[in-house]
Amino acid sequence: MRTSDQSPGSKPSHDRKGVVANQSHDRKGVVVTLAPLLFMAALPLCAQTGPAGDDWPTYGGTYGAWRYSALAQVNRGNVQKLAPAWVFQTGDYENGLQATPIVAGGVLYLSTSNAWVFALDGKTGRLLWEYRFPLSRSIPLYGKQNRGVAVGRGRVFVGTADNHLVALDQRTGEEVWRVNVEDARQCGCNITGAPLVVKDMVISGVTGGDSAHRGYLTAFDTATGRVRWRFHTIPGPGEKGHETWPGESWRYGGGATWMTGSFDPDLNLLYWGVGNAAADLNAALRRGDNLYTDSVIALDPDTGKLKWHYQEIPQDVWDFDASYELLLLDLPVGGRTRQTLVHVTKSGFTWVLDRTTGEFLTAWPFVKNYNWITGISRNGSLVGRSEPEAGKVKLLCPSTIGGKSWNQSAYSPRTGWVYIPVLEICSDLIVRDESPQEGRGFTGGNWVMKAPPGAKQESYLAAFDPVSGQRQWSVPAATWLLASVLTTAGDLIFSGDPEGNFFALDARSGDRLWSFPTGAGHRGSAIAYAVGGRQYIATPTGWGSLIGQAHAALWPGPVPRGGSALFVFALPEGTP
Amino acid sequence: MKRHAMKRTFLLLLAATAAYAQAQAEPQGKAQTENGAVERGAQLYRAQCAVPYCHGPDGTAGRAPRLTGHTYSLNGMFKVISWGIPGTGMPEFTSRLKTREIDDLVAFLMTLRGGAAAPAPTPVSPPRALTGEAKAGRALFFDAARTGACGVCHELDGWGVPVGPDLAALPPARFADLHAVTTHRVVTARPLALTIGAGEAPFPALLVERTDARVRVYDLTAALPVLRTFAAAQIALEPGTSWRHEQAARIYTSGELETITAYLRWRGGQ
Repeated sequence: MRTSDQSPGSKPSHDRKGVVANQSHDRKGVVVTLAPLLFMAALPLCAQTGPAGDDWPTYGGTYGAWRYSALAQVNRGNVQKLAPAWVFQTGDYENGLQATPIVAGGVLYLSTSNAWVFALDGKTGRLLWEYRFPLSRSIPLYGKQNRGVAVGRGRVFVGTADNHLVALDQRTGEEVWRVNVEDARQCGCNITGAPLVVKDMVISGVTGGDSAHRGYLTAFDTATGRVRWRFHTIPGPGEKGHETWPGESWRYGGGATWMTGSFDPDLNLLYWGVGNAAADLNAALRRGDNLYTDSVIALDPDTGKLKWHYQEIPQDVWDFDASYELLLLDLPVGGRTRQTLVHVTKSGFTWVLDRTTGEFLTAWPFVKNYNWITGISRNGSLVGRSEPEAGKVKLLCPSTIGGKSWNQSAYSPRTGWVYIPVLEICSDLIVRDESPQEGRGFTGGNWVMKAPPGAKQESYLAAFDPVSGQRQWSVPAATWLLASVLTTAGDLIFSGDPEGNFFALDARSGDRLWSFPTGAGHRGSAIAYAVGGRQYIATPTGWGSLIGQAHAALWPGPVPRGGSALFVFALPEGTP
Repeated sequence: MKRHAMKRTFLLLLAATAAYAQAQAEPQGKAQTENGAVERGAQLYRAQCAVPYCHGPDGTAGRAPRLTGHTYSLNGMFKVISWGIPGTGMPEFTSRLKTREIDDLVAFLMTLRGGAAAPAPTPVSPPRALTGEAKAGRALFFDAARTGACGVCHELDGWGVPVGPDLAALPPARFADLHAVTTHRVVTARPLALTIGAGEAPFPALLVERTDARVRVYDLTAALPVLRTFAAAQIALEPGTSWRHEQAARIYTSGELETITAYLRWRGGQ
């Protein structure tokens, strides 16, 4: 066991249980004016970097993005008895339900593609309040997708498909403020990722990596909505790194921040993954390293200033956003424990960095099929790049969907392994010359999904050692896996498939222990939480997303069913 | 707004009638007879339209509408590809493709057609050509490289956020000095106790809505205006403000402001 449940910066769940349970109780009876204070008091206890306890306070479970719950009431021995406790239908069926629910003080917060937000009693599913954002018709090409809310400082924050960030009163659901982050008609960008609350700020990224846009990360004051800082992922004239962009290419160079970052409170560093350079497949107008695209950036959250960066892929021509989850793990590397950041990326490789300095430690492939490089050297350089070429159709692996899609991996400190939903799919890349037009599609080519050369396309859930990359086990999917992974201290792995099954695997062997047909495809992220001493496992259902729409082009058989319901499971009352 | 909508409906009818008339007059798939047009069009389709974001590899997938079995007329299809559909993800291709290439693309797409001719979605007129200083002024007005460019407070020609006054409705003379613009509508908002923002300092605000229950104002303190909602009892609005338009305009040099003025006057003169 590499990292114990009681790692620094995390509290054992039984310590927190009492606090959270009291708070939950107080919510109903205490004088209203005290409620905001209670919410604020709860935050520092919950938002740590290790395991999640009774609550699921932030996108990745905690700031460290492990997606690991310390709750063990449901375990390998009794998971067969898991049964639905309640189901909530959102009524917003567009693009399915892709969110990670947030749980704070026994209340579950959920958002949908059209930026409808719900607060539900975690025990009964009773609707406490709902909010519907008045979405405009100007939706950029990334479409209506919503991966969840952030909760903190008495507010619930949601990004919208027309590029607004909205703050709601956590108690009533009433709107407190909203900001049009940038006119979606101009920037061609929007917010699809979940925001992140850090201290008294809410931090939000934007899409735009495929539509002639220059990415940024913005911090807003949780109380007033005022901008505190903005960090452009592409340095402007006069800034260090600007020289990696010839001419005007920096204005349209991508570098989107479309997923959610991580935060280390002890180091006071905010980490975010930066997306691909644009035009995606064609670097003719941007010869250079194209900083800080395909990089991990570490910012001082108080100022928004860059503390360090590590660029994984200079001059990307494969659409390999480095946007995915950043797992903060303390791992033995080269004989000593290092504070690492484990980054499972679109390129089919996992990078392991020192999160205090950004030093490259190692990188390993989690896909079997990759040919965009032949490998990564000991110092982190890419070896044997194979790039798309003008006038040719070139089959490159992984595909532009990625060695995995944005659905999140998870880590269990009990096994010490990272669990990744892998895609073995390639794409024919076709390059074309394209001049950027602000906010319009700027891919520099086209892609058609294909099976790997001499192999069949496949997808599986696999367990890996996070340092050596050694695969421990893998479980094949009938088609592909586009839902996130949840791990628990009950040594269970939970995820869902496009066919509609929500299932539990043995974290140590991968054996399938339990499955439940929810009736709609899975593209969201399951969580675990507890109220009143009872553990719940919640999963969004309902097929959707841009990648999800490509299902029929890749797999024979029925198209996954849409829908938008949250299924919540628990052991029957009285189960030992 | 209403008049605008009526005008739009009229134009739509006009366009639809024209498209229908042309569809009747022209033999369907005329371009298909041209040597290799369909094949060239198919190639262009794969390169320009088949991205998973849009119409998909076979015209069946993606976020944009299904094109297999579409009912566009030849003329309608040509217009939509040429000028795009405003307010949607459908871009114009006039600046990306040669007319001949659009012809080829249309030829290919007409092979996917099914059903009877129907009016195409509203085609728009070609954008007016901006030149010289006006073009530079517009670029500054909407400059994405500066957080807090004019466009974060003013909507103009389909871009920007309508927080401040509609500049299209103002006489060009008002744009003479963008530092000295008077801002009568900006007031002072004073948050009162018992709110989460208790003790918050007064801030410059634009009133958006006031009912017995709530007050909504744009908070102009930071580079991006914030639309804030208060319970009516939680905020007092007082006339006058120390805020000046000059503060918002400070991100530009005087020379740049003159260039922006040139743009505003150019469009006022259209």
